[in-house]
Amino acid sequence: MEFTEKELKNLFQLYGDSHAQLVSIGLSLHWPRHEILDVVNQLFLDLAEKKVDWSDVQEPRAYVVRAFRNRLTDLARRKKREHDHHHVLADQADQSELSAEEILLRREDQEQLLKRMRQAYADLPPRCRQVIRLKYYEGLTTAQIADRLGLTERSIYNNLFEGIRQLRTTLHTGGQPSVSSALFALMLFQGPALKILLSNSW
Amino acid sequence: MEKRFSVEELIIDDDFIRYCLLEMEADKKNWNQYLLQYPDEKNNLEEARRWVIDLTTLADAEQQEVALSQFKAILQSKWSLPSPAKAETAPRRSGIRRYAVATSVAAGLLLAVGLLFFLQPGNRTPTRAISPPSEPAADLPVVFTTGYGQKKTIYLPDSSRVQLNAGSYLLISDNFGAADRQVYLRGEAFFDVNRDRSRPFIVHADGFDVRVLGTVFNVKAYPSDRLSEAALIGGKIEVLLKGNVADSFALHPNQKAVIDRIDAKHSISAATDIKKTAYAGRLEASVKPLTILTPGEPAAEMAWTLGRLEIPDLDFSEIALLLERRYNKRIVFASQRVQRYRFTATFEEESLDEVLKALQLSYPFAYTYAEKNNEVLIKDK
Repeated sequence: MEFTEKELKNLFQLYGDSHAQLVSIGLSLHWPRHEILDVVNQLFLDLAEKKVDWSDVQEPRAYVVRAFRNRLTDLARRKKREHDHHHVLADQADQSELSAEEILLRREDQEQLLKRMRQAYADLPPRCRQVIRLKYYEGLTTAQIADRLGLTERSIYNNLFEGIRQLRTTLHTGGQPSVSSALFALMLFQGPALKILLSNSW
Repeated sequence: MEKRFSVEELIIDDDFIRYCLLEMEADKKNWNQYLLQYPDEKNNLEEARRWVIDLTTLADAEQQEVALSQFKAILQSKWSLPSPAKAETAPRRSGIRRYAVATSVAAGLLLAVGLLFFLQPGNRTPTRAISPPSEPAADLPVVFTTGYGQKKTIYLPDSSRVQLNAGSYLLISDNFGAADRQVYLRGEAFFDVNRDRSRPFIVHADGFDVRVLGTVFNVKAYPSDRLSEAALIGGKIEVLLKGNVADSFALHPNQKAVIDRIDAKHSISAATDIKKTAYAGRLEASVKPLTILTPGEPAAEMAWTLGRLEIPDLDFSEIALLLERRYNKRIVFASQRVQRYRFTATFEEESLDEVLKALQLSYPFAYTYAEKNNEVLIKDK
């Protein structure tokens, strides 16, 4: 199998743009993280092998999202057949399929939300940013963070609580009717806005 | 669960986060139970779950480059691609080199395929990139950790795959891939290492090193356990006891080295000084066959990678360590006699409660939960 430089560039670009979004969707559909990562990598290996011509695809990211969700559905069916009761949520995945129009509307909402989240995170006191980062970025437990920073669990807990409380308050008071619905949109379409958010805020 | 959580409390609760990210049966049961008790908390629970997923996703997106570099490594090793930057100068290789089995298999079978590889290492065409990335470890996080009740899969820059079991810590050396490939492990990990004779793969554990050419093996070396082991599924590894170079031995497939840290004080070596702490006491090592509980099934040593908990004739005190890691609960014995009961069993999706109930069928003991301390107290009946 040989690839042109352009093919690889397009593929890697799409991978980078979609990865976080796909993981988020997988988690929302109740899949464990390590399985999601495997599915994503296999999906892109197959896309590479198929040599999809991305200039023919109107919304490459939407295409990838759909392909990814189909794979989760297939995987869930297969697991069900194998008497693995771990995931039988496949059918739920299909119900929330969105039209292209809906996707675009939600993307706008979401970009607004992301801006505000980024601001809210940046406004947190450094001690709150630090523990939130250790918890959700490095996956440490409260006890492990306490260990790492040489502080008591109680003070780590307090900083986490304070940080999350502030994030929620900021997002709730900005006129957003419900954070969870906005975040749902976020999960379905994370594009460049997320990148902007991340490059500056963590 | 007796306590009612606020949304904030849920978002930062370690058990709740684990439930959102790992979807283990035991956790699902716990939180369903919580909902039964407080049906009006459903919206709060949903909102908290969204927050956890979202905060994690933000972190994932930051690691986008890492994920991408790992994917590039996989792609490279699968098709022996020259790295794009060097496409002009790298020698072209004719023909397609690929995994013998993998190409025809859908994503859902990844696990099964992995298993196939583990069991038939001979089937695997050696694959590797023509031109290894010049600074392979530059954008890889240096440290991976898992809490109790957590697992992680990591692709190294050479596309070797590591599954990290609960309560473990893996440090990747700064210049991984330059002259050799070195990692430091506390806890347990399953390695599927890509063959590369010119760059040996070395796992540093407390008390011993494992040297690898290209192979599939499991290393278990928790600081809290006196016994450590390196189990070989396929290929070839060499185990070197530290501070005693004369004591090294090669393992054949389906063998394991069991290392007894005779003077081990339990709970030493905080994860943060992984490179500094080194066991300095006496060591004893022996070679044993892998444990096969069910003929035709993979060895018990790798069962955890398949989500199983295998108990091959162990003391209750040893089993308690396995349960603590798997279920993130502390297990406390009020009776020495109970600690010495021995059990053999296999579990898959069972909750801690179901496991304990099953064990009670073999020997009489009683247990109570102390939710406040996250403990289970086990005593005489």
